[in-house]
Parts: sequence; C-alpha cells; structure tokens
Amino acid sequence: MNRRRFLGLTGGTLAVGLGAPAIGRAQSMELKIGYMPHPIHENSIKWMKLWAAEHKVNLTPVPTSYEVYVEKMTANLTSRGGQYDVIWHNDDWGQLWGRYLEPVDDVPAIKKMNRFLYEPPFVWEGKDTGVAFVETIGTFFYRTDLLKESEFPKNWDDFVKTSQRLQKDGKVKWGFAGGMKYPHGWFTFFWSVWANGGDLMMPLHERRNEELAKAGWKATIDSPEAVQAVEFWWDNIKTHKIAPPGQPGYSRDDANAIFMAGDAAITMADTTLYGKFNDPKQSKVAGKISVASFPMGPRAKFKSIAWRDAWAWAIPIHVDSAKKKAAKDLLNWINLNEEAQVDLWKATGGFPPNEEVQKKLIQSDPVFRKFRAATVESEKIIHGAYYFPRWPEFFATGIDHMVKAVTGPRDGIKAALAEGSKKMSEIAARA
Amino acid sequence: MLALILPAFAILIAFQIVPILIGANASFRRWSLFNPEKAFVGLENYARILGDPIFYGTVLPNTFLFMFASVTAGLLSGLGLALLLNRRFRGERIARTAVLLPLMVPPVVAAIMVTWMFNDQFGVVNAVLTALGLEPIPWLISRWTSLGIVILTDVWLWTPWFTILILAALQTLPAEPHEAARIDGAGAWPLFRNITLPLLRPVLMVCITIRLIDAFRVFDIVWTITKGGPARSTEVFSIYAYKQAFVYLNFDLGSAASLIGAGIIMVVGAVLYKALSYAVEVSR
Repeated sequence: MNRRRFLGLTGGTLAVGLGAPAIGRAQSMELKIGYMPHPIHENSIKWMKLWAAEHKVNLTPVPTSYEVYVEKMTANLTSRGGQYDVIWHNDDWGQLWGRYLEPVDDVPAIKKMNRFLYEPPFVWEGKDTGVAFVETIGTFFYRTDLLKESEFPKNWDDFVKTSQRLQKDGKVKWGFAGGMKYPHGWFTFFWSVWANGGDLMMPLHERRNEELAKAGWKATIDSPEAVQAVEFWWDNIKTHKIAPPGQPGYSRDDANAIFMAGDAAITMADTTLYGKFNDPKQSKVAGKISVASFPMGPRAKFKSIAWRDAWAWAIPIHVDSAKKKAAKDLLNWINLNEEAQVDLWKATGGFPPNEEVQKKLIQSDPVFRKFRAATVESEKIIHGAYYFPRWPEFFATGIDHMVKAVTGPRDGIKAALAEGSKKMSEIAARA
Repeated sequence: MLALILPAFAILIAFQIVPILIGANASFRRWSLFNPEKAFVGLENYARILGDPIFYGTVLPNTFLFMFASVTAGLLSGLGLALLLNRRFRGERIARTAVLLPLMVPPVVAAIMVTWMFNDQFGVVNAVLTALGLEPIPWLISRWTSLGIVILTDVWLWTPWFTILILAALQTLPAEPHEAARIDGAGAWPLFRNITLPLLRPVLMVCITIRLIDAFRVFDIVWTITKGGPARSTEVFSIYAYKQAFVYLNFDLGSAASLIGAGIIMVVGAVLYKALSYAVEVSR
C-alpha cells in the first residue's frame, strides 16, 4: 500500500468513525440508564423498554454493582461524563449529587407521591432532583410454616425465645440472619437502634441539616439505646446463638441466601425483595413467607417504628435538553401508568410511589394491606439515612465501629461505640 | 525516529503522567469528589493521613505483613515445586501444566472462589470441618483469619510464577559444580545449600524484588475477599487509598495517601535494588 492510499484510507475511516454517532443520533435517540442489578430496577427497566419502543428511543441499560455505585456515579457526574442519561438515585445520595442533577419539579407524576419521600432526600435548593420509582421500606420477613402471625415476636425478649424454640425443635438452623457489614447495617444494627428508641444523631429522628448543625452534629451510637442494641446482637450471636457467628461479615445478599435456603426463620430486608424470596426458582421458602413489624427493644419510645424512603431515577444536569425532555416524559409515564405501578408491586413487593395506585391496592389486595400495616402504618415513621454530604464516610465509620464492637469482647462494646461516635461527630461536622 | 515514538509518548502523557499530576495537585487541595473546592491547603492532607491511627496502626503493618508473608510463602512453595519438577518422571509435562494453571485464573475469580470456600454457612472448608466433628469457623469476621485467607489466595495465585522462573533458572545451571560436589561426597542438602542456592541467588532476588513491589500494590483479592473488613482490620495500603478517594469521596486524602505510598515503595524499591545488585555481584 502506497503512502497516499494509506492516508486516504485512514482519513476515510476516521471520517466515517467520527460521523457515525451523528448519523445514529439523527436516526433515533438513545437513553442510557445507569442502574443496579436488582429486581426493582429490572422491573422499572422492563416498563421503560415498553415506552422506548413506542417512542422509537433506543434504551441502553448499563448495570453497575451496588458496592461501587456511588463512587462510579459521582465520578461520572462530576466529570460530566456521557455514560448515562438517566441514573438510579438512592435517597441517601441527595446531598452529594444535588448540584449535578436536573430539577424535575416539572414532572407531573411527582404530585401524586408522598412528600415525605422527597424532603429532605431529593430536594436541592428548593427543587426536586429525582423521580421516585419505588418506596423502599424495611420489614421483617418470616416463615409462615414455622410461625403463625400471632406468634411473631413483638419484642426482643420474644425474638430470642421464639428463635431458640424453633432451633431447639430442629425446625430451622438459625432464628435470624441479616446483613451487618457496611453498607448493609440497616438490616441488623440500625433497625434495632431505632426499635430501641435511639438514633444515629441528635436530635432524635431529625434529618434536616440545619437542625443537626444546631445540635452540634452530635453522633449518638454510644447512647444507652444504641449500646443496648449492639449488646443485643452480641448476645444473639455469641450467647443465645440465634444468629450465625459469621453475621458481622454478612452483606444483605449473604443473609438473603441463608433465608432463601430455608436456614433462617426470620430476616430483615426491604419489602422490594418479597418477589425474590417468593420466587420458587430462587427460594426454597417461596409461598411460605409473610411480613411483620420490628420487634421493639426495652427502651422503645413508640409502639412501632419503620423507615420510609424511596429510590428514584434522576437526570444528570449535563445531558442535552432533548434527552432531558425524553427522560422526563418516560419517568412521568411510568409513574402515571397504573399497570406498571401495580406490576411493580405484584412482581417485586416494592410499594409503587403513586399514592392513587396505593389507595386502589389497599382496597383490592390483602397482601398489600398486610405490608402497609407492617411498615408505613407504624406509629413512628422516619427516614433511614441522613442527608449531609459526608454521609457515606459517617455511615461507614458507624458500621465499622458497630462491627468492631460486636466482634470484640462484650465489655468493650461501650468503648468501641464511644470511639465511633466521636469519629462520626467529627466527620459530620466537616459537612 | 521521534515521530515513531510520538503516539506512544502521547498516550503515556495523557493516561499516565497527566492523571498523576492531577492526583498530586489534588493532594495539596481541599478536593472532595462531590464538591471539588480546590482550595490550596498545603501539606494538611498529608498530615491527616500520617496522623491517622488506622493508617500507621493497621494499614502499614497489614501491607508489610502481606508483602513479606505472601512473598516468602510463594517463594518457598515455588522453589520446592521447581526442584520437584526439575526431574525426569512419568507425567512430568502434565504436572508442569497443572502447576501453571493458577496463573491463568484472574485474581478476582480466584478470590470469589476462595470467599465461597470459606463461607461460614455454605463453604466447603466448614463442611469438611463439620464432617470431621469440628466446630465450623466464621473465617471472615476476625482480622487474622481474614488476612490469612487473603495471603493464602495470593500464594496460590503466585506460586506458579515463582515455579516457572526458578525452574527455568535451574535448567540453565552449569552441571560441573554439582558433579564436582557429588564426587567429593556432598549429600543432597549440602549440594542444594552450598551450590544450587548460591547459583540461583540472582534469579531469586529478581523474583523477590518484582513480587515485593507488586504485593505492596495488592488490591483485587483483598477487596473481593474482605473489602478491608471486618471493621477496617484487613485494610492494606491500596484499599485505604481507594476508600478515602472513592468510598468516603475524599479525593484529596486519597491522592495524598497514594503519594505517600509511592514514596514508601520507592524507598523499599531502592533498598531491594541495592540488595539485588549485591546478590548479582556476589554470585559472579
């Protein structure tokens, strides 16, 4: 090949290569969806694809593991990367990403959702930054072949006795299995702190940053309520032996596997895992599970408590305006589409955020009524996270110290949590 | 000539030099990943890293322990296997291929495999313990068992590498010194200790140098097996830097930690290089 022919070929190839995306754009729009592989996301994407097909939009779902999701998405947003046009936005990343997200107040479907889901998690400088696609609410799942509804423990003492009874009778290997290590502490440590009248910061159950600042960004995992909650886990693992000894190293996936294998009578998880637990292809306990409220601790201040949050889809602010409009139309359509909303509930156990649909489900679906009674109809509803930018470090530090406490000597729990609280307060104060 | 190396040089600048400079710049600034203020703070980030008890009390000891334990065990196993394979026996080729298999397994795959093997509920290791009438062990909730599993995985992955290099060296050793020693009545151990080992010294030093530097940077298997847990007790240097930058989103502290690590490995590398030069000189 002579030099002229080589240059000509190279130039031609480059021109075609550089021009191809523009030609592609002219033909149809592409929306790239950044999501986590999870039944809820997959259900939502299933409906997105339906909308995309009707509107001649190419939908490209791009999966990212939960373990690296925040860092990858944060890097993408801050570098104005073009990898995603719509991203999964968890409630506890609101303050991290607020400035990088398109306001979505003009999506009409948001008006049909409960404002508690939005404030403060998805509000940045007075504007909503995410369109909720499911409510995420923690609940207790239990085996109905082992426990009647009336037998589900109402307090920690019952929780231990019931678990021990089932184990002693040889009905199950473990009374309970739940995720414990970072970032899965909700399913053991956090619910028990809340069920015991405690919280992670002062003032109790406060989530507005202004109020947390006024209180001096004071972390409280060394409060008597939190210390007692960690002691409860220490005893459950080492003394009562109702939870697996490896639990301090468990993610929620580890705990889910034990529950679905039929080796635990009770687990704690988001309602969104109901579909998975109830799928006979994946779960040995399918068709034999129900839900219940948190067993309350000895220092509980309410009859029942639950957290209520949402997962949302958001649009990076640097996405071009035509794609923003298409993405908003898509998100609006999904949330107003009753069939999609009901399918979300039926297939996964996730509460559809559209409250009009929820009202219809309350009328028509006894399982949905049971789920609501176990969760959002609790006496006290709180948010499951905090919404200041240092939350990831604060959260990780808290869980690490709780794990340290629960894997160390029992008489060292208080000191480990005091050290954690001090560090967490310093981290939060840097917010 | 210059034109020929220009593309490679441009790629090197764009993907190696510039990111390092950006990272170095960030280490002197207040630079969180979610809000890069970029205000100049001098050496503040370095002081925070060096003053962090986790860094000097856990991360550095773990890193050096991992380096020395993993390289020592890998070297000894590799040397042993190389000596065994440096003989004529039936199935010699099959044995050599089998020994090399772990080299073809991606570290993350090996780490996932090991994690399942040591899973406290479903793992084969606890199944064997239970079958033997022993109590199952929650391997991944204590610092030392977790770190032991990480080191074991690394040794399994890298032993073939040592084996292949040492075997190649063994096959090029001159036969005369061994023959002379045998005529003088030397047994197997004196022969190995006084003839084989000194002749292998340059190759062993190269292996040790490369592996120690590489082990300092270990990330994949530690992240897959323990993520630095429980409670940060198995964090090694690269996990610490990664967590600072991408879990806590403190890009400034992560960059400072990376540069401190680069400094440490340069010192370690210089010492090893000196030792290598000495070993080569002595064996001439």
